[in-house]
Amino acid sequence: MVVKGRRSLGRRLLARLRRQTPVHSPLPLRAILAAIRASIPTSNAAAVRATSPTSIASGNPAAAGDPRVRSIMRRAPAWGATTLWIGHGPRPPAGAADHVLWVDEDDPLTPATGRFVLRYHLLWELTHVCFEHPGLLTPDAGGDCAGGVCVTCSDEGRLAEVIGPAGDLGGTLVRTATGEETVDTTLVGPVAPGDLLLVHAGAAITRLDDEEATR
Amino acid sequence: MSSDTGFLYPFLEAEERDADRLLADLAESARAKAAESAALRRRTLAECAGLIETAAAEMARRFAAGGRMYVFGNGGSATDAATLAALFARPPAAEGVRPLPAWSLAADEAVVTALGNDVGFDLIFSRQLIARARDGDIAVALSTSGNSADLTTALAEARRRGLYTIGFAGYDGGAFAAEGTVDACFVVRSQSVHRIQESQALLGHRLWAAVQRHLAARHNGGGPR
Repeated sequence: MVVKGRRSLGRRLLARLRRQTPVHSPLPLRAILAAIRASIPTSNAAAVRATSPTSIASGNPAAAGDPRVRSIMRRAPAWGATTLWIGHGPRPPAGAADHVLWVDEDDPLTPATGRFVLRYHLLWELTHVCFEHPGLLTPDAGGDCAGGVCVTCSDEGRLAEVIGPAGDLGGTLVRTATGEETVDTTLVGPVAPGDLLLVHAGAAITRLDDEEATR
Repeated sequence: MSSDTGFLYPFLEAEERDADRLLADLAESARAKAAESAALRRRTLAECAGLIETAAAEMARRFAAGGRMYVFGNGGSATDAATLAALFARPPAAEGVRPLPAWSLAADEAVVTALGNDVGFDLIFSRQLIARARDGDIAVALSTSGNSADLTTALAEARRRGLYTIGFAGYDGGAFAAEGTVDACFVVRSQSVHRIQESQALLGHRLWAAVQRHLAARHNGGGPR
């Protein structure tokens, strides 16, 4: 089942930028984008929960094997966040994040060299270039909902994170990219808070473990 | 672009629809910037090679005598300061590489906000040096302009206290180069904040490697520890 549509990095970023709201602008003609920082040693799923929908999370600089970063990246879609993983060394498995900006060097000193810093500097610089093209940042400029199947708007295999039992009426309360909703979990059996489910037409149809989430 | 951002770019074409041209431009721009970054790093390393050795020899002498290093900067340079301090204090495990006492002075949000709130932002680093530093220590300031008041104040304080002062700046070096409070001033000759910081990261890495080399030489030669 297709969980995420595939599209070039540039088009995906354009689609996301359409919805970013600048907060404050200390420099002339520079939009300031909302950004939060979470240190790796203390970060967990709470970092993802702090993001608003359509935010971009990045592990920076994070080793591909770090299970804490992987956990954040795999549950980010349930919180409406696009994931962007910046790092170096061995690459994360395919599908571990929406976008991967990687320095393919296994040298532990890579973060201390300009080559690594260059990656996120370019991201910042090119993002601001996109703001100079307002026509391409309008909702009808060809984005998530243009052509083919829209994985955001349709009910096809959306990722959900279990919050807990929904109450007297049965079902399970989950968080998805569009907010909280109640789903039927009969097909997947008992669930616990934090579990990741694939939801289709109001029902959880499968449970995602680490391997499935990063396949 | 939403109506929230339209006011920032009132002169731009709102009817543009061809994303392919922009994406091609972005890719070309990324390649050009990467090439510019690499060229600047090469040029900067060549210009600063002698100063790296001079500074590293003095830093190694001080570390060997019990000296400690304090690194500080604002914004992105605070991130670079933390990276540099971590490189010195927690280097990747390798034979002959030793961890050295180094701290980022922006790491403790309680201290930074207390000083900013109580005594003023320009003193957030100098007051920490007054509290923690001794002569024989090392102060490293990272900046692109070389003009930030909190950094120049801290460097002047460090100099008064007998610390070895190191400054990283861009453009023409700013006050770091002009005020005479910086013993070793590394200037990245560029007008771009991003390209400056990329070269500074590499300079810091080379400085660390040179310090390790000098310390190893002292050890092998039976010199004072």
